[in-house]
This record gives sequence, C-alpha cells and structure tokens, in this order.
Amino acid sequence: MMRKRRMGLTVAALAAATMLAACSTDGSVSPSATGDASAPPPAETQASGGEWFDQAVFDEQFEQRSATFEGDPETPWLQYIDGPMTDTAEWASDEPMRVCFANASISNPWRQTGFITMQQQLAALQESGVIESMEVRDAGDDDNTQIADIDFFIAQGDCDVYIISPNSTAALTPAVDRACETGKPVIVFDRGVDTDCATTFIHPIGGYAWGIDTAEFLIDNLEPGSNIVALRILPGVDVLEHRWAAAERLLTEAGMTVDDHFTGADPTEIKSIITDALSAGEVHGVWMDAGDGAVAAIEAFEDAGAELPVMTGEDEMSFLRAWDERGMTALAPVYSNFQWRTPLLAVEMIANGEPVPTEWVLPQEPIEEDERADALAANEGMPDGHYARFGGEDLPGFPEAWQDR
Amino acid sequence: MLRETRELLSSIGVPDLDPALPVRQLSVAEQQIVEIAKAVSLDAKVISMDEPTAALADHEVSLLYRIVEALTARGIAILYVSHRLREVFDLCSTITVLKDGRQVGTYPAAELDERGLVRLMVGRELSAFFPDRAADAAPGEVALALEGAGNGFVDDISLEVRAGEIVGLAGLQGAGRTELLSAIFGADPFTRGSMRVGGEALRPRSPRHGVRAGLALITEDRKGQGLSLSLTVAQNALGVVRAVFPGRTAAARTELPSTLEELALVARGLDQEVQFLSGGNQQKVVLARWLAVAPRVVLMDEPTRGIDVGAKYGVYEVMRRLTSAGVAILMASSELPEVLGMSDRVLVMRDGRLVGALPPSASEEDVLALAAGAEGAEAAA
Amino acid sequence: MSAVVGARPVRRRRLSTTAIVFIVLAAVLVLSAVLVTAAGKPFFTAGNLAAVLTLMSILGFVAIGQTLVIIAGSLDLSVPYVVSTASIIGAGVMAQGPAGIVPGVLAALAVSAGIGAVNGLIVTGLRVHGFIATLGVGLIISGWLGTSFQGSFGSAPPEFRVIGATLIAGVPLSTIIMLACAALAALLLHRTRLGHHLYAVGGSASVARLSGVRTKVPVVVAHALCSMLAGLAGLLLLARTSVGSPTIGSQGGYDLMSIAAVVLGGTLLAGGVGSVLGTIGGVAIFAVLDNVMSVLEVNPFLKDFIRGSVIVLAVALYAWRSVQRRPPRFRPGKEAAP
Repeated sequence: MMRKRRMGLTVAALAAATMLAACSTDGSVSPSATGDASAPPPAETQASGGEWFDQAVFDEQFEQRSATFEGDPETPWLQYIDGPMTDTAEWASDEPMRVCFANASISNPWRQTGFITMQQQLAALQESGVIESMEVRDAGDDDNTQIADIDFFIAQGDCDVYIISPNSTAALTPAVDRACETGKPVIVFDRGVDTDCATTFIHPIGGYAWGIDTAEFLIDNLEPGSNIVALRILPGVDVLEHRWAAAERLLTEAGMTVDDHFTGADPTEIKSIITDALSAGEVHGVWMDAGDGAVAAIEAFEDAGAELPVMTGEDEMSFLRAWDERGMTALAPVYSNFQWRTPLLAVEMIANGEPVPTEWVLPQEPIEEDERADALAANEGMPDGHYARFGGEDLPGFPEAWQDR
Repeated sequence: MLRETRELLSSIGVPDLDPALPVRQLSVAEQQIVEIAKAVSLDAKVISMDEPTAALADHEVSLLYRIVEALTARGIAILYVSHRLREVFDLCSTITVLKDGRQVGTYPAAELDERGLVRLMVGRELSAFFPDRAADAAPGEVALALEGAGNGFVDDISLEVRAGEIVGLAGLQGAGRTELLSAIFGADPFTRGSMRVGGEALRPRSPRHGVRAGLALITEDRKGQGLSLSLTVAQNALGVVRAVFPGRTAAARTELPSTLEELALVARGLDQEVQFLSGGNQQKVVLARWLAVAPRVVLMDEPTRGIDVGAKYGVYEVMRRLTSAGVAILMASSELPEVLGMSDRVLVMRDGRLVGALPPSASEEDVLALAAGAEGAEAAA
Repeated sequence: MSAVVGARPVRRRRLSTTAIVFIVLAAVLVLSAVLVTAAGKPFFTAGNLAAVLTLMSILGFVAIGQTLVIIAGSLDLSVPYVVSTASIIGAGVMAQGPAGIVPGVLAALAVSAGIGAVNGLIVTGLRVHGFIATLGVGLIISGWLGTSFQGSFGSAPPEFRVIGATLIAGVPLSTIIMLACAALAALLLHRTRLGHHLYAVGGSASVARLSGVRTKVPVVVAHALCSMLAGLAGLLLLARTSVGSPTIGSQGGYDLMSIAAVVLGGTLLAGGVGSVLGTIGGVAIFAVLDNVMSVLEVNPFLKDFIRGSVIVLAVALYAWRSVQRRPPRFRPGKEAAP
C-alpha cells in the first residue's frame, strides 16, 4: 500500500519535472534582482561576465575614487564620504556595551587579518571602558548558520549592539531586518544587505573601484592590443565578480586582448596557465582578482625566461615582496582591510551619541610603486598572508598579534 | 627470481608451473600451490591447511596429495583441516576431533575408521552417510526439460528432471555446472534452445522470472550469493518469498519457526545475524528461504560445501523429503560419493556440454573418465 | 549450551547501535550543558534550543534521504546542488506572489525528484557507482547554477517565509516537518516491501537478485526520495533566507555533512545496515556540538578538528563493537555444560 502510494508520487513528480523544466529556464532569462539590462554587453564577453556588470554602481564607484573623504588621512578607518548621517543620541550610554558580532567566516587570510585587527581594537575599547564584551558567532560561510546566529542573538536578548558581516546580501536581509526590529543599533560591514534599516553600513568603495584602478594601470602601461592574462580565483563570488566585470569592460574597450582563467588560487594551476599562455605567444600583462598566487605567476615567467609582465596583484605581503625583489611594473590594489576596525569605533561613537554615516564609505587607495617601500617597512616581519593596509599599527599587541597567527 | 621460484616449485613437486604468470590467471588449485610455496619459502616448520581441497576438483586433489607428501618428507609438520574424511585418512597420521568449539579427542589415525570418526564428530552413530531412497520412489511427470539450450557458457544442453527425482551433475572444476544451473534459473539466461518447467515452455529471463516459475537455486557461494550476511535469520529466510510472492509473506512467517526446527537450526534467535552462524547453520537458513516458496524444481550447486558431517546428513534428509513430496532436484557437486550416493541419475559435463549419463551404480572412476575425457582420466588415475 | 531455535527464540539483550548513538547524544548534551554553564552562559534557553533545532532540521532532511541511499548501497554527493536548485526554482516560481507558493513547492520537488531519478538510473542502468554518478550530476548542476544565476534569484512571499519562522511550543515548524519525514522514512524502511528490498539490495545486490528482488527499482526510488528530501531542505532554506541562492547548498556542505551524520548514526557506509532513527541521533549530535562550540566561541578551525574527531571516534567504536558482536560460545569463569 505504502509503497504504491510513494511510487505514484514519484511518477507524478517526474512528470511534473519534465513539464516544469522549461518553466525554470524561462525564469533564469528574465532580469534578475541585480542584473541591469540597460548596459550593452561588450564584445567578446562571456555571458556571465556581462551579467555581473551594473552600470549605475560602476559609475558611482568611479566617482567615489576621486571623492573627498572627511576626516584625518592618518586614520583612514575613520574617514568617510560626506552624506546622510544617522542620529544615535537614543543609544548614548555611560555603561560599557555588550557587542554581538555575527561573522560570515574567517576562512581566508584577508578575513583572518581583519579579525585580528578587530580583536585588538576590541581590547583597546575594553581598556577604555566603552565595550564590556563581544560575543562572536562564526557562520562558516553558511547563510543558514548566520541567520540562526543572528536569531540566537535576538532571542538571547542581551546585546546592546549588533555587528553583522553578512555572508551574502539578499539571504541575510530578513535576519538583519529582525535585528533592527529589536530597536538596538545594527552595524553592517563589508558586504551589504538589501535593507537600509542598519544604523550604519561600513564598506570600502568596492569591487568596481578595484577593477577600474587595475584596468587603468594596465592601460596606461601597455600598448593597445597587448595580451593580458587574467587570473581569477573562482566564479560566482560577488566581490570578485565585480572586480573582474569592471576591469574586463575597460580592458576590452581599450582594445586589449584578454584571456581569463579560473585558478582556484592553486599555484600549480596558475603556473600551468601562464606556461601555456607563454608557449602560445607573448604575455604583456597579468591581472589578478586577489593577490594569492601572484608569486607563482611571476615564477612561471622566470621559468620560461620571458620578460616579466606589467602586473596587478593585491596589498598582500607575498605580492609586495615579489614586486619589490624584481622591480617589476606593478600595482597593488587594495580592498581596505582596516575596515574591520571601523565597526567597533562606530560602537564607540554610538555610545557617545555621536552621529554616524548611514552609509560609511571608506577610502580604498591602491599601493603604487612610490608607496611600496613604506608599506613594506611598516609591515616588516609580517607573514605572507598579511595585508599591508590592515591599519592596526597603533593598536595594542602590534605587531605580535598579527605575526603569531 | 624466476629461477629461484622454479626451484622452489620443483622442490614441492610442481616443476611445470610458470613463475612469470600473474596469480589471478591461475586456477584455484594453482593459487593454493603458490600459497604453499610461499610458506615453504619462509622456512615454515608448520603449515596449516584449512579445507585446502574445498575448491578443487578430484584430479587436482591428487596433486595436493603429492605436495603434502613432499612437504612431510622434508620434515615440515602439516595441520590439515578438512570435512572430507577420505583425505583425512589418506594424509594424516594423527587425528584431532573438535565439536562445538571443544576438543573431543586426539587419536593415531590407525586407531580410527571412518565410522568411528563420524561418531566422534557427530556425537552419535550415523546409520549411513546417505539416507536411503524412499522404497516406493517412482519418478513422476517431467518437471524440468531442456532441449538444445545454450548461452555464452554452456552449449547444446538437453536434459530432463522428473518430479521426485534427484539428478546429479558431475564434472571437473570449470566444466560448466554452475553456469548451467544459473542459466536454468535465469541469472545468466539461455540465449538459444528451449526449456520447459512443469510442461510449460518457459525460458527465465531473470532470477525473479525463474522463481515465479517454481525454480529455486541454492548457490555454491553461500556467503557471496546465498545470504545477506548482515541481515537476520528471519529476514534471510523470508527474503525470497517477500520479494517474489509478497502475498504469502505472512503465512511464511508463521511457518518459519517450525521449518527451522525441522531443519534443526542452531542459532541464538530469529533475529541473529546470519554472519555469526556456522556454515552448516547458514546452509539451513538458505534451505529455509527456498522451502518458504515451495518450489517445483530445486537447483543445488555444491549443497554441502564447507559444512560438517552432521549438517551434511541434514541436507541430504531435506533432499529426500523434498523428492518424496514431488519436487525435482538437479544437484551439481564435486564430491563424487555425494553425487553417486544421492542421485537417481548422474549427468556428466565437460567443457560446457553434457557428455554422458550414468546410473548411480557407476563407479567414481567411470564418472571421472567421462568428466576428464580419455587423456584426463588417465592423468587423474 | 546454545539455544536451539524453536517457536520461542531466545533473545539476548544487547545494546543496538542506535541505542549507543542516543547514549552518545545524551552524553554530548550533558557535557555541553556543563561546559556552557561553567563558562557562565545559559544553555537550555528557548532561543538556544530553537537555534539547535533549526540547524538540525536542514541537515536532517538531507541526512534522512542520504540514509535511504546509503542503506541501498549507493551514495549521493549531488545533494548540495539539489538543495540550491530547489531554492532557486521555488524562489523563481514564488516571485509572482502567494499564488506561486503551491506551484513553486511542487515544481521544486518535482525537479529534485527528477534529478534523483536520473542519479538512480545512472547508478542502476549504466552501473556507475553512486559516488561517481552523483559527483558528475552534481558538477553538471553546479555548472548550470554557476552560469545561469548571479547571487540571489527570485523571492519568497511572506506567507511562505512563515514556515521558516514559526515556532510551535518552542519547536520550529521546520523541525516538526523534518521529524515527520523521518517517521515516514522509518515506516518505509521497516514496514514496506520496498524498505526490505533496500536493505537486501544494499546488503548484497547479487544475493538480492538471486532472491528474485528487482534490484534496480529500490535504488532508483531511494535516489529520487533522497533528492526530494534535499529539495525540501532547499525550500526550507528559501523560507529562511527569502531568496533563491545558487550556492546555499554548497555553503552548508550538506554532501559530506549528511554522509558523516548518517555514519555517525550507525548506518554502514557499505550499505545494508542502518536506521533513520540513528541518523536523527547523528544529526542531533552534530547540531549540539556545533551549537556548543558557537556558544563557547571556539575557533572555526578547532571546530572542524572536533567534528572530525567525533566522526572518527564514533565509527571506530562501531567497528570495534561489530568485531565484538559475534556472540561468544564460552564465557570466562562459567563452566558450560557439554
């Protein structure tokens, strides 16, 4: 009996699946929430590349690169672009605050560096009596876990302020909304969410700005028609996709020949891609969407006896050191790691009742050739997975906390 | 290394085995020789052999005899474990009998005869090795008939088995006995010729089809193909009936305890996993699972391999009971005394074909001569 | 000395593997409560319990299906991508509003079941091992998801999201649905012919075939049901996140986590032995462990270390037990009558 019924269900399901397959395909073609149909797809672009590009955001970040930042350039983690402010007077308090931090993960060196900076900032603020404690839940890169983490914080009910570094934008929106509904201040940083309920949303300019900085550098230093190999870690991650979407747009418009590959950040894979490209012809430029593996790419050129390319990497130490040793023509774009300090400093401002920028856009300046020596000197003794613009030089525990990880 | 190996093999009496062949290409008998040679090469003082002839055909056994003799002549002690009483008397100088995990006794071989040994093993007197045929046994209708049947492994098979009859299937290892049984059962279906079960033309396309037609197959590989070792006695015993005749499951479940009692199964309970049963008791569970579907024709492949004398006798009794109830049995076996002692007729196979039929009064030598062909018969004799 | 089976089988009381799983769960709970309380934090609060149960329910759906597939002797590595696909399809259809809820659920489950049936047909028809077959199908789906969707897709109306947010007597609705599915799956395994055949085929496909079992049907159905349950997990995630996500399944690592939970629940990876109840215990152990490590703010890398240790220890324990499980004929110190 039981079996018959279940079998029947399976058969019905199969039939329905056949019918609905077409339906779901139609759905994927219609404009998605983030897509922008108005942007004309550039020539020779893969389907996915064009779909990540959003002209409005591109234009906005293009402007922000040259915007004036309020505040002291010596403390870039407190700088912001002038705009609407959130009034925080209602939360002003002399009592030390209990902070609840829902973190997406610390699964890569960039996030690990940032989390160390955050903990050292915490130590400083606990010292000064602004913060009593910070309870951290790590979601291990899983939306569902992070939603549960936020809901747990809400149910527990003893958070004075929420800090959320969302794992993804849309999926975390309802949970962030629920946190806002508690009436406590909510600080969102790094990735955003689709709600403006947060007290402040802290982030560097963004992935498009990275793409624009790097593409302009390659265009300035190479002849039109040059061959550029783009080494990308993996598809589908918005931050990385935005970097490439902007860079690819500008490079192809400038008449460069672009050849992009996914490497999984695997040094062996990177070497074989470069070796293959060199055996097929000259490679004049290398573009990377993150600094990991830059050394492998450089070594592949050296192994082949080829002239070193014009290259963009990241402010990761291994790249800065390789660039310095070889005297290449290169640029280290920055996705400002010091932003991990800002949420806790925002807590301090909230405790003081000071207004905070509703959208807190932090500066994001690439490291150019003439700044390289300073950056290296300032980060002497740091491990390869460290980021030069970590912004923690004045915090307690410097430099041991970042060296012994 | 090849030369050394050849010397080693010669020293144990097998100079003609090629040391360069991969072991997987060797026959079971040859693989065993390699294992023995390995033990000799390690300068073993004692070599244990556990049922070394279980997978060997009779002419291969004589080779093993020669090796054992060569080893003992070199001063190596052999601990020889076997269910085959004849081998025990042929080879051993001292006999130790174990029963239910305890040592019954140790005797010089000369002091025991087969009867006495069996008494020690079973704990009681067995009237004979094989139960008598029912006095009024008159074969009934043809239950299974093949006409020119064949597939990739057997060819041109024509035979009849009547209700109430036991037909023995003899042949050397690799003669195609197992293949014939699995073709009849539908596991490796015939691709040509005709087959009739109970007068109805039917060539099973799958085991399921065969079971529906009233066939049962007791496989030679009990652990690999006969029983789900991780399942319980009851689950195994009801496995077939539940799969093929689900409507009869409830009735079969009710009858199961009495069936198992009749088979004298020794187990901790119906919910004991069959992997923890002895070989003989596992075979009883196999019998129970097929008795539950009341088959018309039972195909048996080495039905007493690896089980002790008492359990063997139990299997023979079940066969007799089945035939007197009108079931037809086609039994393949490498043990010639069993084939001759239980069968009403003996069919002999060689190289995938039937090569002759013999009455049960035939001698083992007659069967071997047919099974091996003329030259093979000389070699074995 | 030994019991001869008659009409009254003699039963010896021995702890089943499932009982051990739940003893381990109880031990983990007690230990967690002690550790958390020692750290000066509450453990048995309503909020924390709801968090544990919610995390349990998603992995639970996938692990129940995985149990069926593993008992049948196969494996399903495509579940994370089925989870994502279901969330995408559900969200796509539901984007039109509340009227899309029922069609969305049906479409998501139908496509999921279809993927599972394809898995099953590849395993049985082409005789590709489940590990490879589902890995391949999973990669194909992940490729499709990666090229067709950026970030989130579609949306779920509030009427559907209620499922993810409702508590009944402190228990999330999703947990209740998951336990109901577990009960149905247990019923299927222990009370139906298909269930018996799953065990038989998983135990030994050739024995099952020679017993007249249709060996392909149970495997295909197990795969279809497994994918449908993964689809349910995807829909539940949709209810929680409100948008379809092409990566939500891989984020949770449901392929290996579900297999680990199944094995932790005492099911034999080789097939033929296991229970849904044990799997639920295994899922609960992971949920409690994860939760207590979150509460104690254990470093994420140490978390993996502890999870891994628990899996290895548990499976070693089961293996040791199964070696010990052959009932001894003689007991020390007790003279058995001959």
